[in-house]
Amino acid sequence: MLDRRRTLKLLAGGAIATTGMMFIPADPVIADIRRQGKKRLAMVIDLGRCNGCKACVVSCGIENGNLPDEHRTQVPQHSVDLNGKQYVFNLPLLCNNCDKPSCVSVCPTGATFKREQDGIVVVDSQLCIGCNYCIQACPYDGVRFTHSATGTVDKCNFCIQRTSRGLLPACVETCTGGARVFGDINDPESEVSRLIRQHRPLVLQAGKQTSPNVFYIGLTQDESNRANSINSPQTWQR
Amino acid sequence: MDRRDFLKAGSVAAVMTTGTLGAKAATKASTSDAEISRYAPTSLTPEYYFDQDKQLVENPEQRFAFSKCFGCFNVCGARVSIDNKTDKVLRAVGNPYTLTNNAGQPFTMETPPKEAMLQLSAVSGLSQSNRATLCGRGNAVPDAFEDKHRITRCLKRVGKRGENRWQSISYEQLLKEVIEGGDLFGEGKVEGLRTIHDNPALANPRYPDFGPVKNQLLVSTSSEQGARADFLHRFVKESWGTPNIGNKDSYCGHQQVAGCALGCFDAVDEMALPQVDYEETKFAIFIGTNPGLSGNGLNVGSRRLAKARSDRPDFKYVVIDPILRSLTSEVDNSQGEWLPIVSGGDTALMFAMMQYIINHDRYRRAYLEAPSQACADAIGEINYTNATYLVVKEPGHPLFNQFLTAEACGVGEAEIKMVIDKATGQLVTGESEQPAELFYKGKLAIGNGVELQVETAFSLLKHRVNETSMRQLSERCGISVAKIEELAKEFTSHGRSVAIETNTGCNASDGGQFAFAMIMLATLVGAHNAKGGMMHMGGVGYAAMYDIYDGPLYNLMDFEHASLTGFNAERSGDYELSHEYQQKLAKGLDPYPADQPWNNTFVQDNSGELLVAHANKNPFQFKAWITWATNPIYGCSGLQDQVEDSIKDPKQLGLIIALDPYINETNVFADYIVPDSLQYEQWANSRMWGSEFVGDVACVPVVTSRNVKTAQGQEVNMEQFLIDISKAIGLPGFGEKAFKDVEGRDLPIHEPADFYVPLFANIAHTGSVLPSPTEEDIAFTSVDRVLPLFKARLKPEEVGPTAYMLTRGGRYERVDERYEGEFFNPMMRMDTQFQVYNESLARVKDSYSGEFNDGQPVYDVDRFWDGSAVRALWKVNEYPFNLSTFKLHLRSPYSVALPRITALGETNYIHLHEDDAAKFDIKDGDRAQVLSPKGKYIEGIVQADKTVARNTIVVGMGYGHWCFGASDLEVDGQVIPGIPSRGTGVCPNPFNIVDPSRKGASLYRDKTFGSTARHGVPVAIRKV
Amino acid sequence: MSEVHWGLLVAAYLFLAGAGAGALFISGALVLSEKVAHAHHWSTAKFSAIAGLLLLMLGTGMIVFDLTSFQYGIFNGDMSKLLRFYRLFMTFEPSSMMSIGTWLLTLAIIFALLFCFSFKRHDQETFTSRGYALINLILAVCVASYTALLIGDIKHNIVWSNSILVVIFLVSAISSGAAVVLIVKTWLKQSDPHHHFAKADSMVMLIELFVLGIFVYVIANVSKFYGLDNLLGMATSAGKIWWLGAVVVGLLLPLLLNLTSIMGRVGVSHAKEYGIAALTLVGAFCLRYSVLLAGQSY
Repeated sequence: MLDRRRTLKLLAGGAIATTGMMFIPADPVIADIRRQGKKRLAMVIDLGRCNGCKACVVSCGIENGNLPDEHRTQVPQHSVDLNGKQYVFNLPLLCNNCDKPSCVSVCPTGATFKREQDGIVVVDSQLCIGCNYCIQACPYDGVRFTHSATGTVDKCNFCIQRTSRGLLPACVETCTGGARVFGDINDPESEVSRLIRQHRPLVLQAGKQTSPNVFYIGLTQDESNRANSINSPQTWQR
Repeated sequence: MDRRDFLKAGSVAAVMTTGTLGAKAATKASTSDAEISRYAPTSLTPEYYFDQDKQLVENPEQRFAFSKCFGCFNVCGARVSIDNKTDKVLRAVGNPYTLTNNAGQPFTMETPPKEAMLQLSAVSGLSQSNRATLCGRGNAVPDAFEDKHRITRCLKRVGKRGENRWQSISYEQLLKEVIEGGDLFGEGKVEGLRTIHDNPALANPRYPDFGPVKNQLLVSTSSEQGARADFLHRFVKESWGTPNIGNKDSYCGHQQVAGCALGCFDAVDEMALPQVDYEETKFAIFIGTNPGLSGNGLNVGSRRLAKARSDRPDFKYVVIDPILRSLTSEVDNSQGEWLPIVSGGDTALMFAMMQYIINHDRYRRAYLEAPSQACADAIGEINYTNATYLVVKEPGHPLFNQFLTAEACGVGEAEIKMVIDKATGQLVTGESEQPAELFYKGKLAIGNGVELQVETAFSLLKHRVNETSMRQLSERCGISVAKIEELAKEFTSHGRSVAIETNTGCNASDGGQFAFAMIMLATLVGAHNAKGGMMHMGGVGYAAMYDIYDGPLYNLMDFEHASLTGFNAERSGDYELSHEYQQKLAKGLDPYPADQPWNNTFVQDNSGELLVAHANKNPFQFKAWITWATNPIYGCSGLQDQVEDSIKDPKQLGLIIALDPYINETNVFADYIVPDSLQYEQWANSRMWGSEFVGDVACVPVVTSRNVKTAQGQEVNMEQFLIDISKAIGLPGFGEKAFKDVEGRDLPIHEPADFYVPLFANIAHTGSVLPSPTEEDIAFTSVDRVLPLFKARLKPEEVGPTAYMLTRGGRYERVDERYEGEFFNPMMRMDTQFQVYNESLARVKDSYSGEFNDGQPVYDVDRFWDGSAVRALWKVNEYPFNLSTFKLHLRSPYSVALPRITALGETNYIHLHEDDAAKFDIKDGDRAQVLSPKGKYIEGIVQADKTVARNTIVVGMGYGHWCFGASDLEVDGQVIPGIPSRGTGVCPNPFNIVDPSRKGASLYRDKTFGSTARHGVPVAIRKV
Repeated sequence: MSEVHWGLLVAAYLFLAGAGAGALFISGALVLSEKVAHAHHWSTAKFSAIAGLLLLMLGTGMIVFDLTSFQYGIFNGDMSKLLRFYRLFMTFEPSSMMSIGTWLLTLAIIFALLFCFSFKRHDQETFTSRGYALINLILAVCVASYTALLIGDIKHNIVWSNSILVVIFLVSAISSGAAVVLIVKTWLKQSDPHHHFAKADSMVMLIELFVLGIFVYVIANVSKFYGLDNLLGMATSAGKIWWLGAVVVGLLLPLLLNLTSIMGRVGVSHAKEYGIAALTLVGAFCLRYSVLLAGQSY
């Protein structure tokens, strides 16, 4: 777990960029989603309000019955040098519940699909055979994994058991910094819509063309292009 | 000075939060339960949901309740969902009524619980900024109940102490053995508690001033356990009557709380720990703390910080600490900054800033010139200081180093001090409504032809901060002169709307002096009680504000208290009143130095020092030790090897009883373990650390304890044990006539509810009496399960208001208007005379040298008790680094037992700057040993980068357990294997230094307060 | 949790399916060509077809074994999870290469079975299964290509999403199919004094070496572009398996052995033939395994 090489690669800026990369704002993605006019649940994460406390990680595990070392969400942390000064970078990661998910099309049994009514990408545990093809297809490393209690693929589904019942996802409910905000991107009154209007957030690895539904306020273009992993070694013990 | 004097009871503001809730309703119909079970097969089922009409629909298989979080010592309010079938807490989140979980807007007490849940839900469409949270530790607590290493039976030691082998025995057998004693382990006769208590002889005739044999009962515990701690203290002090109760505060960081108070009260034994007013401050300095990551809770601290930095472009902050942590985010790099500081260099930085501010006249002159409240009122300040007071500097004069009094000048009483009127230059009393001279030094005629050398407190301060050059101060703290000047300028550029906050991270031998200097910085700009400045009323609970044990309904302390005589064994009190001092004088010997250090400032109640006294057999050894929910062997810097042999030996300490659900590094030496209940199974009432407003979390057991029961069918826990031994020995305060109601009727205490039910009733009836809850509130919050306990003990009319409090998980005084003009409102202010010169401190003598303390902050090198310099003994070339430690935000004294916490980090690290590491051929990821001058070392993995101050080695706490489930536990011949993930990493406490200038076993002490110090101490590093 | 989600079993699947397809391809080619009229070619074609069929079925077994629901079913005694793979056959998802492959393999197995049975019904003189042979030939090409397309469909994977992999896997499938055929021939004790087989085999290997070279060049460049260590460099486990297993053991050594036989104009001993075949098969497996690993190592 404490493999130095991986640590360096994933954390010390060695993580790979997807392309040479020009600026890719999230606006076209949002416009695309809006054009459909349907309810589209999304999360906005304000990195300026994230303090790396990992309350979300723990509450997610408890809520969704994952083993302590299986994570639907994680907050990799590392230090950053900006003009000779040291800062910390906390990056909450989870399934992006993409609008154009690359995991869905590859599924041979139709177990994973994007729900019409709210846009959540779910895995039907009764259909999944555990071929791991979707795990390979997803460019966001580690957001899909095999749940050791079911033998089938698991991932963040925006706490569908809660969000389809009028409640907030567990991670949002317990986010101590108030960084995670959840709602319908197609409801102009929603808090996520307001934040998106105000901050023009970025998505992760826009170059992968998956149109994520998780938006980050405060992310730089360079950071958004990196391929971070939920399974990054947890060496930030501070 | 009693802060209660400055506060008056607030009332619960009657703001009903109803109104229309916008947005679209969620519909259950859109996704069927069958679908959910396919998509989320391992997820929990919510404890309730909202239907299309936004009506809360309860899940019949679960129940909802409010409780208290005990993932750490910040004591936040929790809301939990419980499975009815298994009686297991499924999940815990924050309580929206409590003040620690919500920045700014906790829900009013009037909000019905279901309405509160609606407001927290997605269907409400309300802003999600008002969510009620728990941090990572709090979320992980539900796993604690099923822990294989949890103790639920009464255990008796098998084999030698510390072998972690036990047999289970009945509660009744345990009671009998600890009370009556006997040859319990085949190791010889052990004195039982009854014999110890009833023996009127002196514990040690050589030290008659340390009291009778019953003082040879030592009790150790931790603070922040609210009413449960009060229950224990009531037993120790008022029922048994021993002064020897230790807690963890004084080896945690108490000197900084006491040091802050030196700048706030004319006293040496007060407490103050101001917080930043995040909502309005323009510039905040966090030194020795990362907001929310130590001390004031994460739920409120980091939340408010996050809000301030993202919502307010005019907010800036600096975190000054030896190590970069999670709260100086690169996203806010224009607003926030981490400034590395050499461990132990904090006072130097404070002095350097003061030097710049005073020399460049950047202090708030008018504020400091006000000698009285009247003058402050006249110039628009809320408080005043003693900056203009004249200190007598005439050697030999009875008032030498004290303020010149009106009495000495023949113009009034001794309490009134003298100043020089600014306009006329005349000597006038400090009651003057006119500004006084800030700088005066010289001979002064005080009447009767007497001339005295006097100097104003502020002039002395100016002199004091200029004793060391800026360059030297800069070198000591490792921060450049230019940066210090920049900090000082920024701190003096926003009027009163600046703040500086610390929390247990400035723990060198001058931690008390640092905190005194830190408060002085705030005094220089008049930031106390100011909007955007220093908020002094954080974390005040009902117990501190009101006498909740003494009415309005029940007087829980109304019984004949046991006699309590003698100094405590760690020598708290005035050395010159001691037998030792008198004897030395009688023999014509120099009474100084004292044989062992005395705490003549603050009563430390230091578990560590009490054990050191035991190890030294001075003044005596303890005969019995009861330890509850505390772990000094693991947690107290330097302690382990000083005292462990004297604890292990049954001949030196006859009887050790642990009250705990876990076997930790300390109570592994116990002879008997009484299983204590875990949180959610406990009664609880406590203040909330970090909360701005007055409020208590209060809760009943919401799940049934897993512990064994007594023969009478009561749950075994700390309270039941203390009740039963008190009843058996015949101690007052328990049993049939344990306390009285206000009408004077005797009431009994036979089980915990007998104590907590009347206590809760008192809180509910304090100030304005709470209303009664609806049946719906009671049923929804599961209070109906415990209502019979209340009905059986309270008068019918008292039940409603008390239950009302429980349906909200506590009682909280909401403040709708935080400010009054440029200051906090009176309820949130600590109005006092701020101290530029603390006369009380100048009256306290050092127990080694016999010299008086200085009335102002002192900048000095680190020194041992005998005054010799630490670095003169352990030189820089041998030990080139200063050690620092810190609290990891996911680790607490308990969190190692939580698998979801240990899964988030395999190990802690030895942190140092990469350039320092390179000098020793060490790279990031290498293994290395950190060597202490004590001859011990810790070995771990190095993290070497640019995020650590130079010349400093930093190690986080909470790892490196060798008990607490990390090692094998044997009960009745069955081995419960140790869990490897609990023992990973290193614990920096046992290897840390002690004070070689003291006799025998010792701890390294704060020079002013005697608290255990652990930072800025010399260490070396060696690659493995 | 391992980050390598597709490991040995999937490599075995890709390899076995490839080798099986290769064997069927050669068998079909023999049938379509006139050579099948010769008894020894007839039996070679027959037994190669049977071997190909068995390899396809074994390969399919491997992928079933690799399914996490299958493994969960074994470890937890959960029959519904164990047999969950039937779900593959309840639907056809044209967007999923795995679904396409599932049906393709199913078809290939069915037709290989029919092909095999056709050998039973006829002797060499009356053999008229050219239709089946053609279908098998086409399906073999599809199956072999599919093993590459399965991973090539992972668009963001800089190792897998590489069109030359189709060629590599196809050529490798033929050469490993040839190795299977060689084993069959050797087992049937058919000697080949004219080195026809060795020459043809060497040719395929040379072509394979050439396309492998292109692949190595591309991966080295791609790695550099993304700021990574060479994903097929010797420092990585994938690289070690690639260079030692796929290139040295799987290509250079068999080539050397073939060439020494051809140059020395001596008959290839049975032991040597078995050796060449074994080396080729090990190499073909290593090729797939290293590509799988390289694609999951960054």
